[in-house]
Amino acid sequence: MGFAKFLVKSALRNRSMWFWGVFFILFWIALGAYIYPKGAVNIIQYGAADVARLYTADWLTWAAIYMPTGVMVGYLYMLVYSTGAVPYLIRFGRLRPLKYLLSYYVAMTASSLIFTAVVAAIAIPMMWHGLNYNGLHVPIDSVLPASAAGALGFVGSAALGAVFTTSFMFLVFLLALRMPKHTTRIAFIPMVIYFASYYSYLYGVVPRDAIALVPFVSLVGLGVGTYAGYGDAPTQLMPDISYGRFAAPPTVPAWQVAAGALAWIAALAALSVAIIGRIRYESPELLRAEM
Amino acid sequence: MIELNNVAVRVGDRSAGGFTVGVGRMAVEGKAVLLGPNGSGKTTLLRAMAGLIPYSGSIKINGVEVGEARGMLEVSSNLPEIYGMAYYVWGLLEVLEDFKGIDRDEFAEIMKRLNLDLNEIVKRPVFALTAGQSALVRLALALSSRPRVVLIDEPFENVDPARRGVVAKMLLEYGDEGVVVTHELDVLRAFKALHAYLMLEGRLYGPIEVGDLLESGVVEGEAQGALLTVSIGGKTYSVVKGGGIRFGEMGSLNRLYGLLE
Repeated sequence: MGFAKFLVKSALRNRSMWFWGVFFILFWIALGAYIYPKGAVNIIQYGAADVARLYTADWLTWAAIYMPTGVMVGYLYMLVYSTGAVPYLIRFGRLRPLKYLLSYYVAMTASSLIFTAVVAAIAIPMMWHGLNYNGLHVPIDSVLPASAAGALGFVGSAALGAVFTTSFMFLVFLLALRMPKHTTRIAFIPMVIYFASYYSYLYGVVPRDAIALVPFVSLVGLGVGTYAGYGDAPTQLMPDISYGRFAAPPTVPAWQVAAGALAWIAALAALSVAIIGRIRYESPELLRAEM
Repeated sequence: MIELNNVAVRVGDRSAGGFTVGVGRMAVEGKAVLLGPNGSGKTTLLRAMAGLIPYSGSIKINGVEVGEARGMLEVSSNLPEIYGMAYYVWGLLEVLEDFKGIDRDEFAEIMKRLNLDLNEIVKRPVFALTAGQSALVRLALALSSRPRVVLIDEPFENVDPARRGVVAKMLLEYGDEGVVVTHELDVLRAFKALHAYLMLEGRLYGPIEVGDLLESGVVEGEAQGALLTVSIGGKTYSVVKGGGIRFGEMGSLNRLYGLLE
């Protein structure tokens, strides 16, 4: 899997990725730790540890979901410059559409998990310190995953999220290859969809039945649910502290979320494989027409 | 063997002055040189042979239609469109090692022959190579898979005279069959034993032996005993041995139009 290894190395050596992926996220998590909780913690009388854990889970899941969208934007430009190489290497090389696609899936997942691990290692102590600074006095294990199984579940949901994001974005980018003038705009569409989905989930109401069908929402829920100890995806992300105590939300079973996501991934991957074989050379210089 | 039959390849839009490159019949056994001035369509034809752009008609390499070829590792090209997959040269090496089976030791050996510092070049972004370095690195990458069939585009362009001789030698050493595209006539002496095709305004003429071409010249009109009769700018010209505007003295086919005026 030399190509996958190359893609991972490229992502990890990309300074923009470190800035927009790690530093940018930590900036927002710092706000989430030190600024946003001001005042709200005063009304929590019971269940502070659960609130702290759910709050941390929300932020880390946001980071884990946002990360692949950023990594994929970098890979998009690689795709744009590969429209000559791909048909050539299919005919006169060892490139096979499925292997090519799987290389991106593996590389994206690995890169995203590495960046997310870096963010988590810094964000968790930051969140604990910030909550305590704002008056929510909780021990550090209150911001850690509820259990070892929960931690593994979070990693698994982050990985599944990375694969789904890759499968979705890769298909969008393949379709966009015939429109190099609009590449930059198209590159950010998945990120916008994720942000919109996340904030709908956080501040709005997503019908329970829809959660499993829409991976943009369900994988966020699964990440939060495994980290916070529910095991399943909660129907709401915002902690319910309306009566001064934390009330655990209803959940959607994890297997439903995973099955929905895997079905989407299979369908998106099948479409992508069909399109890779039909890639035609387009001059990447057309990108300059965007500017 | 490389065979083209009734091939047409569209270049650009009609509204932007695009035209069609047309080849009635071309059959290359061994290696051949494809000559023509800039803009004549020779690189377009090579792109079609390398599977980069669509074409109508038939292009076969060793009996396999290019449009349907899969996994033919023995064919290799240096076209720049193929080498954009990675940002750095080291990245290209890794990708092509996986997908094309290039040999790093062979690449290092070729770079040494070309007098290029391998350790310095591999660290550089592909776009940061000079035009000459880019041409040489792409050629080195193309030949590092030890191909049997080579499709080489303008290997001498922007290359300094000292290295041109090395490039010419390598093009004779590597590959049993193939097409080398160039407009440089100065280096043709190294390929005297090969056949040459001329591409002018999207039309293919030939073959003619390189040795005969270097001793021939272009005269206006149809001449008896002409080696080739070509059309340039709507007028008929003949390639005749020993007369006219001599190919061997032109230096580059890019001067052809200026000399014919």
